[in-house]
Amino acid sequence: MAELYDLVAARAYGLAYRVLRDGAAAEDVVQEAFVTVWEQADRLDPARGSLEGFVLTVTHRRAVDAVRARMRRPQVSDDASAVERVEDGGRPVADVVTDSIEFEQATEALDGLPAEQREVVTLAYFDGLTHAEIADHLGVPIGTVKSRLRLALARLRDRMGIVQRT
Amino acid sequence: MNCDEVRELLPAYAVDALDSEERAAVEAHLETCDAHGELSEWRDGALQLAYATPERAPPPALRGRILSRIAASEAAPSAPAGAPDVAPRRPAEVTPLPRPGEPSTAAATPAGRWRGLAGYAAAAVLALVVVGLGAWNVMLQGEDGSDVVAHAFAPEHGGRFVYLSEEQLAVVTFDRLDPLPEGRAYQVWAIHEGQAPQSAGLLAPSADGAASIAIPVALEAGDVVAVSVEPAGGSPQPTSDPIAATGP
Ligand SMILES: [Zn+2]
Repeated sequence: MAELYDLVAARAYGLAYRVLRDGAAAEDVVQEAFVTVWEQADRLDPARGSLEGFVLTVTHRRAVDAVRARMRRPQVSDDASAVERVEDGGRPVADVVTDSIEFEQATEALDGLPAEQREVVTLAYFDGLTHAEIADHLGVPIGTVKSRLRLALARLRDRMGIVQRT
Repeated sequence: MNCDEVRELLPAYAVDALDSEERAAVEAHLETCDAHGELSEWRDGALQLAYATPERAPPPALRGRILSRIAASEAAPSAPAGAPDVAPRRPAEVTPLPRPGEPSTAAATPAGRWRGLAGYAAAAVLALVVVGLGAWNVMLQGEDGSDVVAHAFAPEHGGRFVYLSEEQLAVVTFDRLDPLPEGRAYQVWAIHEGQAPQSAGLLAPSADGAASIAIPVALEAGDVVAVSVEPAGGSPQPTSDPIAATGP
C-alpha cells in the first residue's frame, strides 16, 4: 500500500493549484496541510471521516485562506461556471493525472447539478469567494446563495456512491 | 450565534465560503454544541468537489520537504499550539501506548500519534509516520512489550524496520539507497519461514535515496523482510542476493 502522501498528494496539490493557480503557493499549502494532519493525528476520530478527506479539507481551507490573503478580493476565473478540465499550458500535461474513478464520478455529479447551483459551488469552492461576495457577483440575495449551496451540497453528497470513503 | 443561525451557515462553512468573522463564530459555537452532526454530510458534499478537481503531480521535492518538516517538529520539544503540555521526550524513552478506547495520555507524543493513526488501519499513514520518527530514533514499546517491534538495520542504507503486530503491518524505511541504473528497481519481499518469498512491492526512492514502504502482512519470529535489486517492474521471485534483510 502506498503512503498517505503518495495516496493523497496529487489530489491535494491539484486542489490547491486549482484554487491558487500558482505552483509554489500550492506547494506551501499542501505542506502546511500535511503538517497539520500530522500534528492532529492523535486527536482525530476515525468515525468522523477518512484521513484522506481530512487532508483535502485542510488543504482546501488553507488554499482559500491563501488566495484571500493574496488578493483582498479573489479573482473570478473566466471559466467560473465550469470545473476547469483543460490545463493552462503552463506546465507539462504529464503532471496532470485525472483518470481516477473518483474524478469521473465526482465530475459527473458536479455536471449533473442545475447550472445555478453549479455556479455557486464553483465560485465558492474553486474561486474562494465568500457567500456574500457570490451574492454581490451574481446580483442575487445572499439567502439565494445559501439555499443554492445547500441544495448543491446535498445533491453532491447523495451522488457519492462508491466514492464514499467513511 | 444560536443553533439555527449556525445550521444555516454550515453548508457555506463546509466549502470555506464564510468570511473570517463568520467562520470564527461558527467554530466557537461548534466547540460547545454537539447538535450539528449534519456538518459531516455537508463536508461529504464538499469533498465531491475536491474529487472533481484534476489531480496534479506535485514537484518531487515536496515529499522530502514535508517529511523533514514533520521530523523537525517532532524533534523540537515544544508542543504544537493548542496541544496539551507534555514533558520533553528523551531519546530511547519508552512511551506506553494507551489502550484502545482509553483517552490518550500520550497526546502529542509519537506513541499517541501512532495509536490515533492506527485507528484508521491506514498503512499509508504509518509509513509517513515512521519516516518522521526515524529522525531521532525513538523506541516504541507496547505496555506488554510486544505491541511494536522497531529497530534499525542495514546501517549503510539507514534502514529502519517497524512491525505492528496488532495491525499486522510492517513498515520499512531507508534513508539512503544507492541510485540504480536504468531498468532496475528495489523490490521488497516478505518471506515466511520455510516458504518462497512473496513480493511486497517496489521501493520508489526519492532523489536523495530515501524510501519507505508499508506492508500489510502477518509476521512471526523467523520471518524475514528483504530487499533486492530486480528488473524495473519487479520479478516474480528474487533474482539477486538481498541488499538488506531484517525481521521481527
Ligand atoms: Zn448548536
